[in-house]
Amino acid sequence: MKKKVLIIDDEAAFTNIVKLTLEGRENYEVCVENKSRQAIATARKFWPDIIILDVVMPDLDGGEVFTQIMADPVLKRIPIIFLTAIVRQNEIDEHDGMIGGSFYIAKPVSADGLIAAIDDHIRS
Amino acid sequence: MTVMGEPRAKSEADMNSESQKLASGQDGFLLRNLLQNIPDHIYFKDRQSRFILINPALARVIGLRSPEDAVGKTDFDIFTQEHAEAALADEQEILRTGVPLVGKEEKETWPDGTVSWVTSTKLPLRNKQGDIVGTFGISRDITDRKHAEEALKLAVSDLHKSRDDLRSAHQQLMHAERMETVGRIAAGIAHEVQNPLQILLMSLDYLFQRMPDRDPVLDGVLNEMRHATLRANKIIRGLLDFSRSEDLVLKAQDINKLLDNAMALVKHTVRQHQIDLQMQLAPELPPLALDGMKIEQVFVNLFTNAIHAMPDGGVLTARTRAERLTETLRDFGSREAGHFYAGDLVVIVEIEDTGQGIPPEILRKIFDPFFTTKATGKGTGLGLAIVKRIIDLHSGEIEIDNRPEGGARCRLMFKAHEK
Repeated sequence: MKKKVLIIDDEAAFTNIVKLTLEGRENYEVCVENKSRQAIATARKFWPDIIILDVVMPDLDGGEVFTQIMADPVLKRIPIIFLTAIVRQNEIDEHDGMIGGSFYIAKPVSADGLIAAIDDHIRS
Repeated sequence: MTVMGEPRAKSEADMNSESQKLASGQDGFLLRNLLQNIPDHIYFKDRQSRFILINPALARVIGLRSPEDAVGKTDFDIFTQEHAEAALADEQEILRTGVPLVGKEEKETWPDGTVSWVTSTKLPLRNKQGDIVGTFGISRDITDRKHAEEALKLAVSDLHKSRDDLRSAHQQLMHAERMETVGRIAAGIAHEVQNPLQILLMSLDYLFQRMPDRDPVLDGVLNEMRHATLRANKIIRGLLDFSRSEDLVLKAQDINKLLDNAMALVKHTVRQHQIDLQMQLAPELPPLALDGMKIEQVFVNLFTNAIHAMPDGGVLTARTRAERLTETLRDFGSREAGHFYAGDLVVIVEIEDTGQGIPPEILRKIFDPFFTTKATGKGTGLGLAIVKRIIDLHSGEIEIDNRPEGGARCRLMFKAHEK
């Protein structure tokens, strides 16, 4: 069964290439949401196994989307990875991948790096 | 009508006549009056510079009971040797030339060590035939004025110093503000540029993945693109480092250990370039409150620069020592840099290479962001700017200069906090 990945990021060029990359590996089904305000509705419709969430977005930022997900009794069980350029990978590594109780990956990340993180979190 | 027996009131005309008589100096009354009462020092000397006559004011100041006690004495009996010799030389000159010495300022040092200043006028003393038979002079104590002048000089010098300090503080402030602006802009740019870089990087990964049978030319082009993207990312990471070095995690650190850790990271390159490594680390240094990771980053940057300065080998020396400052260091770093005062216990780290050294015109710019002497693509020009910022945040001091024997030296100073 394919792993369902929801990517919430306002950068359409980025979400397109992530979708192409992940779906190119065949065992992923990717849903993209570029409008953060629609993130919750999209998540409820798609029921992902994991959410990749950008932090700096217009309208609703990643933190606000995260709060809404956590407030939803069902969605809150879905693992979330923040993917952002606002932190450095070595800063994340210093905190064992977690900042403020959430998992982070720093941009830019390689395709292999992103896939490894997704697999790790879905497994756990 | 005049009443006999009553003293007659002197008329104006009588008094004028009396003054004229006195003024004629027949009985020396005016001269005596002048000598007795003037607070200036007046003296007459013979050709051997022995006193013939001095006035009471001078007698008082040299501690004689009466002016007559001075007769026959010389300056050597009263003043220090140095002063007496100078006065003698002046008088000999007047005796020889007949030219007066007018308004000379002299320092008088008394046997008890006290110093006074006088302005002195000395003239040749001539007899009725016009022959020079001695000298005479008058001197006025100007010690108070001299002290006031010195105080004024000191005040003016202080004022100049304050003005220079202010100028330098202003320049530092401008520099710090420029750096802060650069930092803010850098952070903004870094974030904005990293998103497109992310797209490029992942797209290249995708192309590599989807085109397994690439011809070598296409493969080369894709690889160049990947390298260029990673290089751009490295610059952006440097910018973020520069703009984000504000948050320190301070812990008591053994600076020798941080140097060892940093050295371990560059050891491979040191070996590659056949560089002789000298670690001269003083044992039992006081612990310092430092952000270990950031200071390690500083050392790695400094080691890397030193290694790059010696492409054909050389000696890289890292040295530490603790020292108690004997004088206060003036703050010449940025606004954040701390002050070092006499008596402070400090730890000094020196990193030296035996490379080409740094041209003097470049020395003052080396801490500026984006300033680099390395070839395009080899350095971001942020290494030393980050180093400086981290050291400033630790209230430390950093200096880079050329060693007289060749090569560059970087000296770091941190204040040790004593219990």
